[in-house]
Amino acid sequence: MSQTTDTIRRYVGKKETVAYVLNDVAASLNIDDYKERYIYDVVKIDFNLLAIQNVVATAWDSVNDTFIGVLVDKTRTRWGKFRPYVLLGEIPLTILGMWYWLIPFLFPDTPGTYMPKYIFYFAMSIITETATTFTAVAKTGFLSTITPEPLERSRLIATANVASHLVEDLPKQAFGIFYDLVANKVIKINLPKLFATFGIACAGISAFFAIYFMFNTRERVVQSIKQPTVKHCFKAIVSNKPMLIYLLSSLLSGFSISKSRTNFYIDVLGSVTWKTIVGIPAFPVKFISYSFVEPLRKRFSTKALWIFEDAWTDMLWLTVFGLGSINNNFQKKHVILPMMAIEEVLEMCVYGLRRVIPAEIRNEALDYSEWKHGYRSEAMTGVSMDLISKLQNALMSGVNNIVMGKIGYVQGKEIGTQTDKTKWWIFALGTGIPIISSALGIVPKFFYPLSAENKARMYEELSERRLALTEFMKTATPEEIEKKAQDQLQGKFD
Amino acid sequence: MADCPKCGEHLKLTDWKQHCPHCNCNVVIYDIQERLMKDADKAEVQHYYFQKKVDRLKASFVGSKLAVIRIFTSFIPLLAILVPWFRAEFREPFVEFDGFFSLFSVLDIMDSLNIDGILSLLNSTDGKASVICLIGAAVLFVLSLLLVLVRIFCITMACGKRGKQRMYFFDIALLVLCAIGSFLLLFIPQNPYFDVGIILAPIVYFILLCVSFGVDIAIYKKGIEVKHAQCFVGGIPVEEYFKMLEDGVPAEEIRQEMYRRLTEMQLQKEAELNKEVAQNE
Repeated sequence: MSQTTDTIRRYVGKKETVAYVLNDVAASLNIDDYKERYIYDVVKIDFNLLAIQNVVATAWDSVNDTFIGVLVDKTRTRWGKFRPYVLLGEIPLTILGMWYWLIPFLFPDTPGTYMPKYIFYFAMSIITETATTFTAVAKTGFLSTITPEPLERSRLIATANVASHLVEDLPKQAFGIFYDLVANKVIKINLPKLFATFGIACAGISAFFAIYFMFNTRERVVQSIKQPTVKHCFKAIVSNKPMLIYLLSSLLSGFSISKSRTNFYIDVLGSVTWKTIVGIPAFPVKFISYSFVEPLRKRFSTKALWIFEDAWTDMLWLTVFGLGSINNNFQKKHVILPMMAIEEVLEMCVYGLRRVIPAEIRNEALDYSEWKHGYRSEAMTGVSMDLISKLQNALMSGVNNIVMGKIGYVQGKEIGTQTDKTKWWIFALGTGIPIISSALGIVPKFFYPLSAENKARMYEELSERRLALTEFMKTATPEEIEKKAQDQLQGKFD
Repeated sequence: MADCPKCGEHLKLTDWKQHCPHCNCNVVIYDIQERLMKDADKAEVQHYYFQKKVDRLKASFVGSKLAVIRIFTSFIPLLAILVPWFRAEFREPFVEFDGFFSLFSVLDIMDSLNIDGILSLLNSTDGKASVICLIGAAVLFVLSLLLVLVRIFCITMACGKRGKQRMYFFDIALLVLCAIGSFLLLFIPQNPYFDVGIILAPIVYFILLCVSFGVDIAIYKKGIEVKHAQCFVGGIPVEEYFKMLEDGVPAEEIRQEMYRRLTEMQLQKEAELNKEVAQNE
C-alpha cells in the first residue's frame, strides 16, 4: 500500500546534494583550535606585535565586510552572482593557507620580533582574512539560491549538518593525539612538521570539496535584471522586517551573561569527565533530532518552531536551575547528574531545529526582500547580520570575564574548594542566569511576520513573478527589458 | 552552459557577462524556467530510486514488531561481556589470579601483564597447546563481538535483495565462532600455568545469539512488507511518468501535464490552508 508524500518539486539531485554536504564538511576540516598554540610556540611572534596585528585585523574585518557585501551584490555574471567569488576566493585562500603552515620553515630559528617574519605573517593574515570574507559572504548567499524551494533548502541544511557533526571533530581530535605524542617524544618528529602536515592536508582536502561543490551546483534563484545600487542594498536591510526581527532577537539574546558549564563540572563536581558521561545518552538524540525537522516544517510555521525551540530549551534549563538550587541539590552528584543527563536528552530533541531554523529564517528574509522590493541583497544582508553579532560578542566577552571576579572566584585554588556561594554562582552562570539574561530574545520572535499563511502567499507570488519574468524575457525588446529592470528595482510588479 | 540559449552561439570563457555578445539576451534568465523543470525532473527521478532504498531501510528497523525486537536482540549479546567469563586460576608467567575472570579483571591486570613471558610458553612443550587454545578462544570471541557490530550495521540492508542470506550468514557464523571458542576453553589441556573451570559468559552469549537467530528466522518466515512512499515527477506519479516516457509521449505534452497536475496540487494545498485558517478563526 503506498503513502502519499510531499508534492513540492525537488531541484537538487544526488550528486549536487553530495557536493553540498562535502562543502559543509569542508568548513569543519581544520585545526583552527590549535592556531594560537602554533603562533605562540611554533612560529613564535611577539605578544605585543600579535596584539597590534589583532587590532588591525579586527578593524579591517569590520570595514571590508561592507565593501565586499556591496561588491558581491552588484555582481552579475553568466555563472551567477556568487559562484565566481567562491572559486576566486577559494584558490588564493588555499594557497595562502598552505603557506601559512610553512612560516616556521621560511623563517627558522628567528626571534619573536624578527620583522620580515612579522611582516609576512601580517600581510598573509590580512590577505587571508579578505579572501575568507569573499568566500564566506559568497557561500552564505549562494546557499540561499541553490534551490527556490524552502523545504528542500531545509532538507539540505539538515543533511549537511548531520554529516558535518560526524566528521567535524576528527581532524582536531586526531591532531590532539599526535600533538601529545610529539610533545612527549613518543613520535620523533618536530612540531613545525606536524602542524605543516595537518594544516596543509586539511587545507587541500577542504579546497577540493569546495571546488567540487562549485563545479557541481548552480544558482537557481534569479537575481534582478539590473544590479541594485548601494542605496538599494541598505534599503533592503532597513525595511526587511523578518531580518530586523531576527537581528533584534539575536541582539537581545546576545546580552546573555554566562560561563561555560565546564567550570561547574570542574569546580563544583570535581571532574570534567562527568560532562562527557552526562552527554553520552544525548549524543544519538542529536542526530535523530534532524529527522524531526522536515515533518515539523511541513506541519508548523518557521515562526512557531523558532519560538518553540527557544522556549523549550529555556524551560529545561530553568527547571534544572530551580531544582538544583533547592537544598543545595547542585552539589549532590546523585541528584544533579541524572537531572543534567535528562535535560541534555530533552534539549537535544530540538537540536536539529536549532541548527536549521535560524538558517532558514535568514533565507526567508532574503526571499522576503525579493518579494517586497523586487531584488535580492544576500551579501549585504548577511554582512549586516554578522557585523552586529561580531561587535556584540567582543563586548560581552569582556563582561563575562569580569563576572568571575565579582562572584568571588579565586584563581588557582584547588579544585572543589571555592566557597559554597561561589559554587552556586558557577552553577547559576551555567544554567539559569544565561537564560534569564537573554530572555528578552524570545519577544521579537512573536512579531515575526511570516506566518504559514503569509509565507505560502509570498512563495506563491514569488514563483508567479519568476515565471512571468522568464516568459517576458523571451519576447521583450531591449527597451522593454530596461523598463522592466527599473520597475524591478522600484518594487513595481504587474 | 557554453552556448547561448536563444541564438545558440558558443560562449567563450571570456564572455563572463550575463548578456550574450551575439544577441544580447540575458543568458541567466532566458529559459531558466525550462532549465529548472529539467533539473527537477532529473532530481525527482533520482529521488525515487533513493526513496526505495530509504523505504527498505525503514522497513528493516521498524517494518514490523519483530523488526523492532530485532534491534534489541542484536545489541543484547554484547551484554555478555559484562557477565563473569570463567572460573580460572592463573600462575606464572601470567599475573597470579584465582576466581571468576571477567572484563574488569582484564582491566585490572592490563598494566602488569607479562606478554613476553606468555608468548615464550609457545616454545615450551608443556604450555604450547594450552596457550594456543586460550589465545585462540580469545581471538574467536573478539572476532565474534566485531561480527556482532557488523551484523548490527547490516540490519540496514536486511530488506534488500540478499538481506536474508546476509543475516543468516552472520547468525550462523556467530554461533559457530562462539561454539568453537567455548570448546577451546572447555578442553584446554592440563598445564602448570593456568586452569579454566566453569565457563559462564560464553554460555550466556551463545543463548543470546540463539535468541537473535530465532528472531531473524521468525522475521523472514512472517516477512516484512516494505511500504514504498509514492513519488512524483512534476506532480505525475513516477510510475505513470515512466510509462509516458516509454510510450513516447512528446516532452511538451508531458510538461503541460506536469503544469496541470502541479497547479491542481497547489490549489488543493491552498484550499486546505484556507480551511485551516477559517477553522482557527
